[in-house]
Amino acid sequence: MNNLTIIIPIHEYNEQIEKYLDKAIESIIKQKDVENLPKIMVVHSKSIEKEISTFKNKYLDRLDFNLLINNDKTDYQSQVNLAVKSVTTEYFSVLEFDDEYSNTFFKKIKKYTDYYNDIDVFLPIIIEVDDNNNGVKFTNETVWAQQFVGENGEIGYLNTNTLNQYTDFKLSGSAIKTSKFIEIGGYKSNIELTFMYEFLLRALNNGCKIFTIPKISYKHLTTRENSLFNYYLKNMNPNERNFWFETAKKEYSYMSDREIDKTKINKSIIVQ
Amino acid sequence: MSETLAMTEIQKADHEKIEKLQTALNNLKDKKSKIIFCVPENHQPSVSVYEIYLHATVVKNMGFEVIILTEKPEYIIPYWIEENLIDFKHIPMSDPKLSVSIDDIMVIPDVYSNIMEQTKNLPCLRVGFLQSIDYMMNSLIPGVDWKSFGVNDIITTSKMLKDILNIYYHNKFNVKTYNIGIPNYFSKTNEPQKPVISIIGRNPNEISKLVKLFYAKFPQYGWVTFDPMLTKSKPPQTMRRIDFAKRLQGNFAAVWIDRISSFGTFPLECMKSGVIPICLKPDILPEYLIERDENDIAFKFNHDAGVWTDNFYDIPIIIGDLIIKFLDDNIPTEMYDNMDKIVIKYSQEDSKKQIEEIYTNLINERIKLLESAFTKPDNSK
Repeated sequence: MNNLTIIIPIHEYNEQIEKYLDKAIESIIKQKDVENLPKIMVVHSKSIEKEISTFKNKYLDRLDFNLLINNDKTDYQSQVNLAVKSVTTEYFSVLEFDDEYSNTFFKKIKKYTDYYNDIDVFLPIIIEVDDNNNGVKFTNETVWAQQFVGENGEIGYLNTNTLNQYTDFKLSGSAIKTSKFIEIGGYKSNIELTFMYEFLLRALNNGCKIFTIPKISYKHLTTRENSLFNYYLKNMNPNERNFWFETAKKEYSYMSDREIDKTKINKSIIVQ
Repeated sequence: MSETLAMTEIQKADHEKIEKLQTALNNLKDKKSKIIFCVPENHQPSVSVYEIYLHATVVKNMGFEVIILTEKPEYIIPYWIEENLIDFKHIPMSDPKLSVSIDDIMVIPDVYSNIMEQTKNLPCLRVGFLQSIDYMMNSLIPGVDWKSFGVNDIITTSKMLKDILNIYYHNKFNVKTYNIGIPNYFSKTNEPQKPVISIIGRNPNEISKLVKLFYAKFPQYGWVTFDPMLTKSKPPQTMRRIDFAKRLQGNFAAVWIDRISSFGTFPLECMKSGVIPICLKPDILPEYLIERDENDIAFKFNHDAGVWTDNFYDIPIIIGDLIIKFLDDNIPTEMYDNMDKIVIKYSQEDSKKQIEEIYTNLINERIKLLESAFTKPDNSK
């Protein structure tokens, strides 16, 4: 798997996180039918340098494991953007530390990137699980329904019409063309909650082709306490959430990460 | 004097008869006879009509003049068959110029059981082409069969059908069988298959019911599409077979429900395309699922080539199971291997050879019969 780098962003560290991280890394080691495993890049804050170095030693003999210290903003978007700058492979994929790849993930990525070399973003079908590992829902699968992509849309491919009516798409576990990600400006750290949605809108606006691999390739723990989206769920009221969706729809036509005027939250947004 | 005159007349008539026979014999031997294929107006199932045109093409390539006989003058030549298979003279039955003679052969498909009687005074050899026992029986009244209309020879597409004919009609027909061949444009693709399921069936209400039951049982797979395998035009039309093959290979599975099918071409097309067929077993089990010993006795059933069930209500559940295997990349390779093993026996090249052999035998038998007329003792004397 020479054309892919796995990015794992970590901003804090404790025993629980180590347990999750072990599982995430094991999901890489357990891959079937691949000749060699991809390079792994863990991007983390300076404050947890010592712990991450110790963690790395556990896997040194099995993985090409690289660490990248982030001395700047440690929000998810900034961590990923920083890591991508150091990626030398054609594609990268972000593995969240509490998630797992399916055991044929790399095999699938190879198969699909070999066949569809004009695709810029390969979304996986994500199975969202609860703490007890029970499947809760799928994510990214809807592009395979003709009624979602529209009469003129092609099934399998994300388009703006679909995104306008259905916003629940996640980029975790996707294989993204490194050059394209950089070219269109990466994630915007000024956008909360909807930064992936905004990225997808911007990518489509810039002619990117986005395709969902019709295989369950990624397991996302959807109910972890203190996860980013769990935080949003608990701390953002509907007005604020709506604000971020409206912001995404306004900002995607700009390549740069513009300052967002948050004073408008709760003022101009009307709850439907 | 009048006795002598009468004798001369009889001799003249005999001489004419012998001359006609000799001409017919020469025509057959020199491939100057006409082979006439009747085609139905209704082109469903399309593969049945395709087979008639394939026979016609094989016979044309043998060097005979081939005529396609249509029911009405406004017959529409099926556009979905390859151009090289439809390049024939199409003549309506009402054409007064059409004449048949003793050396000609007329091939009549099962769906024309009802008009077979009208052909019984024709001098040519008439051969029944049996692809569906249901179509054959539909318009026959009890106690009457094709033999009643003077049809002794039948070409059919499976040993199972031959066995049924022989059992129920007491071996009264001369039955010739061949294997239907699947064209090479039904093939596997390198393109990853889609979470789309082709669905083919004779009864649209049953198909609709199945799809509704599936979505009711598995709402989480509401995004999985069923493809009726028609053109995307409005209204949808039958696809050209080559386009059908291209569409089919991209879908990961296919449902087939056709209780009255006598052969089952579609599951074979799926197998050749690397698409898993999910099938309700028809009343007549497809020949290719049966393994026979050297004495032609069935000893094994290949139910593992795709998924085959006796129960309609199992099918939505089977589809759900197969989808999860597809999504997990977990469909056993043995299933594809079993499909490959079966379909390799059904090439179109072999099929054409077998069809040619059948027509060669029919013609040789006809030649023998005509020759025997010269050597038969004249009982009239």
